[in-house]
Amino acid sequence: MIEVKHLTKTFKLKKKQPGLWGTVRGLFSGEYEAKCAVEDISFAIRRGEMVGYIGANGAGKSTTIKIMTGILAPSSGSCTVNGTVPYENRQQNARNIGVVFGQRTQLWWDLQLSETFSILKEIYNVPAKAYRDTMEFLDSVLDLHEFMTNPVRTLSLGQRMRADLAAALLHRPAVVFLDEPTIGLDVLVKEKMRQAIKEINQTFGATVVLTTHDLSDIEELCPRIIMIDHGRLVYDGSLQNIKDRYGAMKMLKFEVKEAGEARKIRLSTAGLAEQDLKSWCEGHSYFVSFNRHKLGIAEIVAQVMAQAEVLDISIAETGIEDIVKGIYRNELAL
Amino acid sequence: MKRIFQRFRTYWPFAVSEIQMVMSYPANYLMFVFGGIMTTFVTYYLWLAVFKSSPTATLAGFTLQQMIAYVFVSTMTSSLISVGTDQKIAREVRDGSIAMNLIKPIRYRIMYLFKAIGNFLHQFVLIALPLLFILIAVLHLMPGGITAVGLYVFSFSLSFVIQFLFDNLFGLVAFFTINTWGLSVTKNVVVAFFSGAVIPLAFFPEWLQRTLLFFPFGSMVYTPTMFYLGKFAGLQAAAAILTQGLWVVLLGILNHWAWTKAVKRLTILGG
Ligand SMILES: Nc1ncnc2c1ncn2[C@@H]1O[C@H](COP(=O)(O)OP(=O)(O)OP(=O)(O)O)[C@@H](O)[C@H]1O
Ligand SMILES: [Mg+2]
Repeated sequence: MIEVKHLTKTFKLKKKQPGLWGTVRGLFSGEYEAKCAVEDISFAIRRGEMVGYIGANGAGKSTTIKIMTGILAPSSGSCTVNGTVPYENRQQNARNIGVVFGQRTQLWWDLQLSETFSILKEIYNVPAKAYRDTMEFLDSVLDLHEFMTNPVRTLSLGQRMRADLAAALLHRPAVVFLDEPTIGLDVLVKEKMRQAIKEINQTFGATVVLTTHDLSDIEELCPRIIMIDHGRLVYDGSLQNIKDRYGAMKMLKFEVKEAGEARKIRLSTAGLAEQDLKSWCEGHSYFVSFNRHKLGIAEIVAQVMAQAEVLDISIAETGIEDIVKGIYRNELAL
Repeated sequence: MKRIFQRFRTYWPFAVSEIQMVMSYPANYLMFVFGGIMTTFVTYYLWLAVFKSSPTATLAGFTLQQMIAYVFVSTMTSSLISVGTDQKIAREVRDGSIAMNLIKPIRYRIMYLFKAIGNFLHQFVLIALPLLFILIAVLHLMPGGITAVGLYVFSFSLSFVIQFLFDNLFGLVAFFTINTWGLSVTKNVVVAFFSGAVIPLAFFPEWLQRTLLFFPFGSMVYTPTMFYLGKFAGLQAAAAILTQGLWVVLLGILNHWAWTKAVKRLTILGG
């Protein structure tokens, strides 16, 4: 459905010196700096898949999405969506895709929300019956009727996002690109958005590519994740796989009476790989992150208790958040 | 035929929504209409004073009556064709909202053409009709008769297209420089002055007149207004229409070329 091959996008940025004088000088210098936003990324997504496209801020997610939606041409490499090259046949590609950019809107700002839908109906030539059915479906999941006759500029963020998602799905696109569709939403609205995304995938068989910083979105929706960092692909595979590999990690937190004592604690690391046991301290707290298949809790507790006066102990499971954070910080090698 | 109808249905909502959009701020809109009509009257009184203090009855070949008609028709024409397409495109590029239009299966420039038509329509009803009413019913100024009105309508539609293509071209500059505010202001002043919207080109020196008539500026306001006044006839009329037609074609080609260049350069900002 989507094929991305050796995709690279380099932006040309005019070199700027700081300050007013630098700006003035910049006007006359022809110096450019190349900024590589996406570098040699390849992946393939099958029809009906739901893929989480994740990475830290500035990793190049939006840039990739822009290329796949046909509004940005890559510097090199290629990409096809549903057999179409998006940046060469933008209009044809547009018929097949639905797009939500979380921080933008495609709604008509000064008109009633309902007007947006009737305009989109004409733009995409949606037949009357299909239009009614889809609207009914979207309304049932996203509760649009509550604000259907309000001018778009008066909608709250959550209402606007729901409406934007509906607007992207009205023509039942085969591929849906969602760039941070849940940004700034409360738990209930998020739940509605996820429900809608899940249902268009299940009932219409839409292929979904989703970027988000909320990993619970991913956990709930995407069996597969593609992770990029600094424009490069760092992981492409199942979410379960990552969880299996790193979900074995547990964390222990000790409250120690004396901060000085905490700093002196040393655990014996004989025969353990570096990523299986890690420890650090913050003030009166001493943290140990360890692989529970390789090391028992009791042993660690015993070692720590022998070296310091411990006031409290707590145990935390490592969530997907921590795993991804670790990967972003290059702590966990993949 | 059916395809054209389908096309029309696809783009027509852009014209309608443009009308709805201005209507959603009625107070602002009334001020806009009032301002447009005020400008006409200020210019009207200005010329009245000029003619009163002039020793001759005609200035640059214009009688007072013709001058009044010129003021009404030229203001009306220039306000009907200036719909600010260039600023709108530039804004979309600057804040990146152009992305939301490019993800739709529509031609960006046709969309803007329909937006321009929407703008034309509401200005026609709210600005042009009152002015025409005063001009024809109150002041009885239709110097060229009904044929002249017909020629005006024809010439006007060409000048509408010329201004649209011209503005589009300026809007595309934003694809390269991102900010075009300064350029836009300069362009508007130049167009207002050289298109005959402020002073009839007949008041300029002969050589400048010829030059301006040959540039797209003269084709924008001066030419249709002169048709209304019945001042263009025979060969001169044919030449004027031909020049307009030529500019439509030339600007059309230039636009197409610039667009294919620009869209490759486009970097959608934000996100
Ligand atoms: N038009 C542009 N000109 C120059 N650099 C750009 C441009 N657009 C993006 N970049 C750079 O490319 C990199 C990737 O940006 P991108 O918007 O794809 O990140 P992202 O993964 O979507 O991040 P976020 O999670 O913050 O939205 C960033 O370092 C950004 O500064
Ligand atoms: Mg982004």
